[in-house]
Amino acid sequence: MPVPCARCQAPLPNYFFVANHPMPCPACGAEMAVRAFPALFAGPRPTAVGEDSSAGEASCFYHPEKRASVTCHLCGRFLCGMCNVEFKARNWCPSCLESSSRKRKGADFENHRVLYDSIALAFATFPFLALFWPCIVGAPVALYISVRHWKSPGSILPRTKIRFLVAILLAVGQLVLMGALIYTIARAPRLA
Amino acid sequence: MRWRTERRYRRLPGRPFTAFRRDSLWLAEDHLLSVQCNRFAEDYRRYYFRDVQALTIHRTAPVSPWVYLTGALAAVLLAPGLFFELQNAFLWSSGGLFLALTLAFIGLGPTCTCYIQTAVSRERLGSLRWMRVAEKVLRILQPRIDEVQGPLNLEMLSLPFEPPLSDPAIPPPLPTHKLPETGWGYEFLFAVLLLDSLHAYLGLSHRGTAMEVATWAILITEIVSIVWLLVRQRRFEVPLSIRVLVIVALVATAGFSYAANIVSAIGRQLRPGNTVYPGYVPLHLIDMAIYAVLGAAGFVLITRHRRTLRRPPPLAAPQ
Repeated sequence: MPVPCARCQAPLPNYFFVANHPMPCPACGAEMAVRAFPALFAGPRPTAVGEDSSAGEASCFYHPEKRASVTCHLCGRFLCGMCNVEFKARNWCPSCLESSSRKRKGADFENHRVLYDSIALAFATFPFLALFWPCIVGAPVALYISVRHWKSPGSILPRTKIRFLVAILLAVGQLVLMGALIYTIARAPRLA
Repeated sequence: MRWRTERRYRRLPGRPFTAFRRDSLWLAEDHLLSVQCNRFAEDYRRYYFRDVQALTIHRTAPVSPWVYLTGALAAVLLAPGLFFELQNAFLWSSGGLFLALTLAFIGLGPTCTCYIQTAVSRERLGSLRWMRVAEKVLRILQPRIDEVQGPLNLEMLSLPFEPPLSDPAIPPPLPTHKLPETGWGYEFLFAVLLLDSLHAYLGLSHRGTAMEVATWAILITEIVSIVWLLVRQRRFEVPLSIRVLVIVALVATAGFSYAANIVSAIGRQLRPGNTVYPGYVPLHLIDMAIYAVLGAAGFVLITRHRRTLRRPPPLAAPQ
């Protein structure tokens, strides 16, 4: 797969890969700096085909006619070259990889996460800042999300629970304020 | 209870100025993590160092396009104090803020778009928008990728090289791969310009709160749609004449608003309490004429552009 120009998509010539500064694309003139790596010039990886096993040799768990070459690092099953999946510098059998992905064991399988702490903080702040009375709904929702999802997996990036804490404090504060207001209004002397 | 999540990733430089999207790049032991965050959820893409084929940095502009907007706002806000002796704390402070922003954008240097290529994908790295930052990230990434893949040697490049740039046999420029513009956004802008012309005509005989509100509503709509269309022009193919017309509309809008505000401020200083400042009628007449011409010309051009889009491609000549 050649490296295309970012503007005109024309394939860039090889001299771009050794230049240490931006150069104009010969087709459209857009200035481009390219860092190429050996993977660009490596051909497609050979498809692993398990070798046939002979008598007395360990065979693959999934293909008894194939010779086992590695073991799954999780379940220890013997695997042929066809069944072995290399991932994170380890050998996996397809079923372990699939079950780990389903059970979300480890962040390496995930490509999406919901930030419940940010949602709770938004419920605790925006209704209060926009208009005061919507926080009668926003504060309990923020409190519920904070408590319900305190232990839910958050971002896989470094992150503290400070948003949850602030959301809880704000929500409790708003509820207390709301209660005090309602109490004051209810206790106020009625006009005749 | 774990207060902090496990620290597996190190943040790489690059933080674009966006209100709702927050893209970032993170470095792990064996891969690069690209995170797209919309404040409430994160999407991750992992690029393992052994799979990275190329990183492309495309220099897009000498300075960020925001420089023009913040610079124009700074000029508009500071000029009354500098040239017309209209001393106002709000004008000075807000003008100074925009001036500082302009200088900051200039200081950030040229802008770029950055792409990462693997054998199966080519993705844009949204967090890298300035050349300086992109080069810094590249300096961090290159040794790690080289460590996994080994350095690039000249044999891999299958030399001899392609002809140098000065060679006259360079192929002609290829057409850009922008999508054709359907034009409804432009129609909206030209309709607003015609409305502005009508508003200027009505402003000669009608004054009051309703007209003031209409003035501001039309002005804001014009500015928002012009800025949006200018941004959209980067992705969609539009004839040059329409692009020029949009820029003329921007200049006219900014110029008329500025002129009206300055003339009215001077008029108020000269004759306090008088709502009709000197030059009110000529300014409105010019305003009306220019917006009418711009709007009508825009509609003609966009209709012609639509016709060319609908026209089938010419048949190949018979052999």
